[in-house]
Formats: sequence, structure tokens, C-alpha cells
Amino acid sequence: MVLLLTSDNEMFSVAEDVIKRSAYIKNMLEDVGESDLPIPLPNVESNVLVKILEYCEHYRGEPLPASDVDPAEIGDRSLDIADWDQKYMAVDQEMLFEIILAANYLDIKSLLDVGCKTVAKMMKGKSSEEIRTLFNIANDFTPEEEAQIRKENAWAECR
Amino acid sequence: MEKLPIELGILIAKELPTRDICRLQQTCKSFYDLIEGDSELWRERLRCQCGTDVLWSGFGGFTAPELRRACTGTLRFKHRYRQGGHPTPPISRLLPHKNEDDQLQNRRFQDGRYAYLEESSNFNLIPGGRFLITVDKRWLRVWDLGPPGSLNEPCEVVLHEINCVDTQPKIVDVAFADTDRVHLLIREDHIVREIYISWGDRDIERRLPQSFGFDVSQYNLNGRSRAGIFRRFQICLPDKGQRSVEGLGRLCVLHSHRRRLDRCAAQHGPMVALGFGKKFLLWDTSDSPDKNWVASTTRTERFVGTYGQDVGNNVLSREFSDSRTYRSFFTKATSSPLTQMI
Repeated sequence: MVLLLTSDNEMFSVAEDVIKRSAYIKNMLEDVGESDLPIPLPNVESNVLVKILEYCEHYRGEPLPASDVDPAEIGDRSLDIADWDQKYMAVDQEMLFEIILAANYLDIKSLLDVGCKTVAKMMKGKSSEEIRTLFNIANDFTPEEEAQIRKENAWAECR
Repeated sequence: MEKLPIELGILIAKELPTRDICRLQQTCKSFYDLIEGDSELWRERLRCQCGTDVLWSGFGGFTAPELRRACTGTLRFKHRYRQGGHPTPPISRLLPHKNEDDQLQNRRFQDGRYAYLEESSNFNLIPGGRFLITVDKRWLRVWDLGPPGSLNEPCEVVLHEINCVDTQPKIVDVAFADTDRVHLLIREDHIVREIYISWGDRDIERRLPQSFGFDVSQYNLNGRSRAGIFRRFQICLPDKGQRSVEGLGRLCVLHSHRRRLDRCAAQHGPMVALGFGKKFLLWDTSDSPDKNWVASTTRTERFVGTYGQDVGNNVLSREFSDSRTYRSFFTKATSSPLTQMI
């Protein structure tokens, strides 16, 4: 078992083969070896870690993805998401972003991909103004700057 | 509602098609700068668009704005193309592109021609790469593509009305006259008698317009007779000052050569050499620019190629290995503007 300590000081005890989906933890375990000391996760809160562990638990036993794929072989990415992953990602936006940030920090590639795809799907086909509303982004361009950018990117407005 | 964390911008942008990346970029300054400067994001995007089709998939040495420009090139072209009215040079045909929502390249007629071929003009890059000449039925245009490395949009610097009646003119030759001036030769193809229109040539060859003003009955013409109307222009493109176009005359050549005459001419100074199979013609445009000429061609012993650009000692064609043959033509040419009238 591996002990994890979240930013709000909650201790989690997790089976090693579950948490090894996180390349960050996996590498740390390999570097440090057997230890009774908990691994501190100062960037992850307990409610987010619960969600992350739910994901790792679900995919327990499935092979870990190959670490490096030749970028030339990726081709066009598709935004298809597996059914279970879609249900898993059906959370409020705050949690969605927390999951992605945690997946990035813990280096869980497949979860990071699913998270980013979920956000990308929400964004696709929307205008800049719609994206601002959807993700609460403040428009901090001056009117002149915005006019200039809109002019240069007029081609991106049409569908 | 929670704000989208800036640090997720690039991770999410990597999952998006080009158009959506640009829309995300336009939402606020932080995203704008983040995405604008990320060459890795645009390089990966460009790789996706090109698919496995390119050998140079590294795109090394490109800056982020250059990569972004390459990624968005097809979309920008399509936008301008669809808007119409706003003339756009057919540059995108020169670029490799494969795009997730790009239908332009797939829209072909059943006979295999591209749909936009008819509407687009013929084009030729002036040696040096900065200026592009395009011609269509009505207009001769010159575009400034900017100095090397420039990221400006191409802009139209010369517009000249040519009004070819109803055939699409072709650019036959572009040659430097001096550092500021370029000689352009274009050609319209016509057949003289409509009855011999064949299916294959129907779109490029039309009946010779009466407006050219010569009497058909004066010549020994038959159904195989064709007419090529050549027009010559001088385009001035000084670094500073007025850029302009001037007509240097029009020549109608009657011939019976059936093959396409795409590169049948060479220019040097006032002289133009034209070759049609085993026939050859020199045209001196110096003494009477803007005049209409009608000429037939002179028969030679060998096939005349005028592919060799030129020049030196007033030699127009490198295909003339026999200097005596060449001289005889040149002598004739100097005594008369045309080698031989019918």
C-alpha cells in the first residue's frame, strides 16, 4: 500500500497497482523504494484525489499506455470519448478543471487526454464570445486591439 | 462558474481544430500570447494537417507566427474565396494542405477537373519570387507577395484590363527586360472555323473574334487552321514609384499545329521568337507598339523549340544549334517586322 497526503492534510492509503497509473508516483516509488512515509501532494485536494482514484480504480489491471508515441504518427486527433469516461467527466466545471490539473501534475496521460478532450468538445464550434461566457473568461483587450484581432481573424468567424 | 485556468490553454488547444484554436486565442490577452508564441502547438497542428504527405515533417527553423500562418493559410484563402469580390491570388494551390474541414480540394467535377480551375486565373511567379502575375479573361494583375520572410497578405499592385473575348488566356513567357521591367507574353487560342471544334478542346478554343479585324477570305484557311493571339506587355515594377503596365502590341498567328502551345515562345528585348512544330516566327515589337499584326509562320527543316530562354548576341533560342539557320531568320526579322506575310 502507498500513503498519499493531500493539500488539506487527508491521508489516503492506496494499492500500489492502482496508483501506478500516475507516472509521477510510479517514478517516485521506483526512485525512493519501499517507505512508510506518505507522499505529499500539495497541489491536490482530497475531494479531487477521490475522483482521481475512482478513475485509476476503474482502469485497474488495464495495461499502462506506452510512454512515447512518435508525434509524426499521431495524425488528426479525434474528439471521441469512451462511454464510461464521458459519465466520469460529467461533473461541474470547477471539478473538471481540478481533475485536469491534477492529472497533469500526477502525470496520468490517459486521464489528461480525456479531460482536455472533454473541454475541447465543449469549446468546438463556438465563437470567441461564447467561449468567454462558457468559461468565464474576462475580455481584457482594448477596443482597438480587439478590432485589429477581429479583422486579422475574420476568416475564423465564419463556419 | 469557474474560470478556465490559463495553464490548461495549450493542453486543450492541442485537441482542437485550427479554427477553434484561433477562436480560443481571441478570448483574452493571456490566451492570445500563450497560443501565439507556442511553436510546438502550431508545429503539431501543421503536421496533422499535412498528414503523412510530407517529407519535411520536422518544420524545423520555423517561428511560431510562421507555423501559425502556414496552418491557417487554407482557411484564410477559403474565407476570401467564398467572400468573393475581394480578389485573391491562387496561392493556396501551391501549398500542401489537408484540413479536417476542408472541402475545397475535394470538390471536383466528374471529369476530374477542379471546380475552381475555371474561375481562377493563370499565374506565373516573376523570377525572384516577390511578384506574382495572374491573368483571367478580363484582368491582368500583379501581386506583391512581400520580400522574403514577409508575413504580409499578398496585395494587388497592378490592375490592367485586357478583355480577352471569351477564352482564358495563358501566360506563355515572362522575361526580365531590365532590373525594373518585365516583359509578359500571353496567348489566347482560337480555331478559325467552328465546325471543327472537338470535344476535348471545346473549353479552351473558341471561334476567332471578328474584332481582330482581318479578312478570313484573304487566307487559305481550312478546318484545321488555328489562330493564336499573342499579346505582349511591359510591366514596370520599380522599388519606389508608380508600378504600371503598358501594351506592346498584339499578334495573331495562323497555324495548323494541333498540339497545345503552352511554352512556344521566348522573348528578348523587342524581339519575340515563336515556334509551332516545324514553323518559326520572329516578331519585332519595337517599331509599332499597340498595333495589330497578322502573320503566318515560316516552315523550317527541323522542329523548333523555343524553350531555351535566350540570349546574348540577340540569340533567342538555344535550340538553334545551326547558327546559319538562326541567322537567316534573324536577318529576315530585321528587314521586316514579320518573317513572312501570307
